[in-house]
Amino acid sequence: MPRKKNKRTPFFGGMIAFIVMIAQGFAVTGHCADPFAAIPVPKEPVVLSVSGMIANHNADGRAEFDLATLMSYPSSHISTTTAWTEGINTFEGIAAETLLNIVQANGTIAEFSALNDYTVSINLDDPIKHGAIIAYLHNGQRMSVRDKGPLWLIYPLDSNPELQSPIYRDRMIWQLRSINVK
Amino acid sequence: MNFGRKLYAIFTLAIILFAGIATFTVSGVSSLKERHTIAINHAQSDIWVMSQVTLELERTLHTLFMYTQGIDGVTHDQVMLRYDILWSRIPGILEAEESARLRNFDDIEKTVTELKKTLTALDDAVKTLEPDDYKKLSFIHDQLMPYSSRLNRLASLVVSSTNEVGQEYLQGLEKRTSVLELSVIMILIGSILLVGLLVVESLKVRNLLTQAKNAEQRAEEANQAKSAFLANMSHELRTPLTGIIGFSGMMEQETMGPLPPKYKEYAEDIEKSGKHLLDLINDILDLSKAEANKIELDAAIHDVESVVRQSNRLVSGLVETYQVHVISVIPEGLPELRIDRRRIVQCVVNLLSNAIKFSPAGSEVRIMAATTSNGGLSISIQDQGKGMSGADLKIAMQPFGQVRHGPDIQHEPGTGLGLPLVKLMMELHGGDLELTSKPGKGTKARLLFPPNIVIHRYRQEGGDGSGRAFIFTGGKR
Repeated sequence: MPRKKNKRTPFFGGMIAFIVMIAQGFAVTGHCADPFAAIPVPKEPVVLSVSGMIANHNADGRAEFDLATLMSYPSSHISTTTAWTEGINTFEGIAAETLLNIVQANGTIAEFSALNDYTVSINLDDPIKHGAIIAYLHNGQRMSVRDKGPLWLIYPLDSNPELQSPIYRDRMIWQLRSINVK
Repeated sequence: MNFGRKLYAIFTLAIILFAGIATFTVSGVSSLKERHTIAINHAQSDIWVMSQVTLELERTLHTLFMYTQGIDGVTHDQVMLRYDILWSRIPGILEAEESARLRNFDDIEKTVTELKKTLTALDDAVKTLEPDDYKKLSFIHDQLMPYSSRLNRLASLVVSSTNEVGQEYLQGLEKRTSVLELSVIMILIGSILLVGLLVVESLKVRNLLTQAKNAEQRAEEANQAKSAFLANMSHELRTPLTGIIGFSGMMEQETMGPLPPKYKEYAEDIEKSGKHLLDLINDILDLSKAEANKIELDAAIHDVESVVRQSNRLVSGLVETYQVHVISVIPEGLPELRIDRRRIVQCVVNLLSNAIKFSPAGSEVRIMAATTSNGGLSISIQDQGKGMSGADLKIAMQPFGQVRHGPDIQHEPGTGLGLPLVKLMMELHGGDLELTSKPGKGTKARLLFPPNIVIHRYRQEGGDGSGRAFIFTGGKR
């Protein structure tokens, strides 16, 4: 008799866990940013354009963001030292993962370009895996173009020794202006 | 040999030294690589930073010109963006930690600092610049233009200097490679020399071994030849001696008629000397036979008591002459021995006659037989003579070695071959002769028989059971 019970329990347990997992998944995505929501058309100057293999547009094949729109999404923080700043700096911005979800990127690599046309090509899962953010606040302040702004791709260098290499110094692109998903 | 060892040490040390140098060099290469990688990174970064500030200056000048001319609809915002981007390059050179080397290069710091001052001064002019304001444009242009060539010059200097990084790396690599090559060659030479030395040494050793073997063989041959010679000679000598002893005996007994008393005395001397010579020859014969391993034992089972009894009989003449008491203590029920009876009797007689000869008149010579702790058997002969020191014992055991005693002891001269012969005989039986003595305490000689020739046989009980008397009542069946 107890055998049957024992047999059933893992099955039901698994089912319940599965349902809970799905529910949580919906809850998390719903809370962060709804990937199916339309991106508002920018009212202020565009600070970031995402193009290429994305499904969510608000312009001709592109998703364009002004600073206010970017700041309306859930934000993340990274405190770290960098090669260009003194001491530990706090950066606030939108997680790369969140942004790529919003534009529904489905490529494998992304070319991040700066105002001066400096471009780095990064595997899409790399900034996601390492929890990189597209920062718009540096120590609570907006960044002007003269101060490497308005956007800066920040990796949590201090919390992962793996990131302390010239490769990530190159990837931390400042004056970020556009992302082309391929 | 000593020289060879030194060479070994030198070659081995050389190999270890060069192996150490090689290891050190290899580790040097990896650190050189690491430094080179860092240097390359810095060089790339320096070139990039310099080229960017130069490029952005050109772009800013170009955009300003386009805006003023009204070409391509360039807006003031675009002008400001370019201008701000140019501005943003400044801290990368003047403040960033990793540009420290760059700042020290030529007059980069001075030039960029001046550029920063100029940009600060021009801020308002650029912000308020309007299309067609050629006067302001030419003012801005004249202020910025000199930096174009200055920055270009510095950027190209940075590029050419960073090329030296690769050069340095190659030179370092080349130096280490030649050190490595030298080390490998030296290790190779050292190894070859070491192997060569080893071969030479082993050949030498083999040679010595052969020589030693040959020498041993020659010595063996010589010894055998000597033994054979002695055996033959002894035999040849005995024949005429028999005649001498026989005829001198006849003369002494005046078989063929009376002799003058002096002549009879002489005949007696001749017989005595002849007999002594015969003893000597017999002993030499035995010893040389034994040394040539030509003695074959005629082994049979005999009991100790009968051996001792026979020996006693054979020395009875001496006992009378020297006036000593011989007491034999043979326990009853003693196991028997598998021995060559004649040889062992010869040994006991030899030891016994020695003991008798070296004992003062009226003293005791004791013969004792007993089993030993290892399962063997011993027959010991103890006298009350003068005894010998350790050095004397050694002499006594050597062929022809006779210990000199004081003039008060009168004894017949022996052949000097007795003890060595006894020892040899005992060794032939697998046993040994043990002599212990101390000056003034007498000498004890022990014939040691090994367990493997001791035979335990059922013996009928008999006698008075005391087991201490020399005259046995039972035992033999």
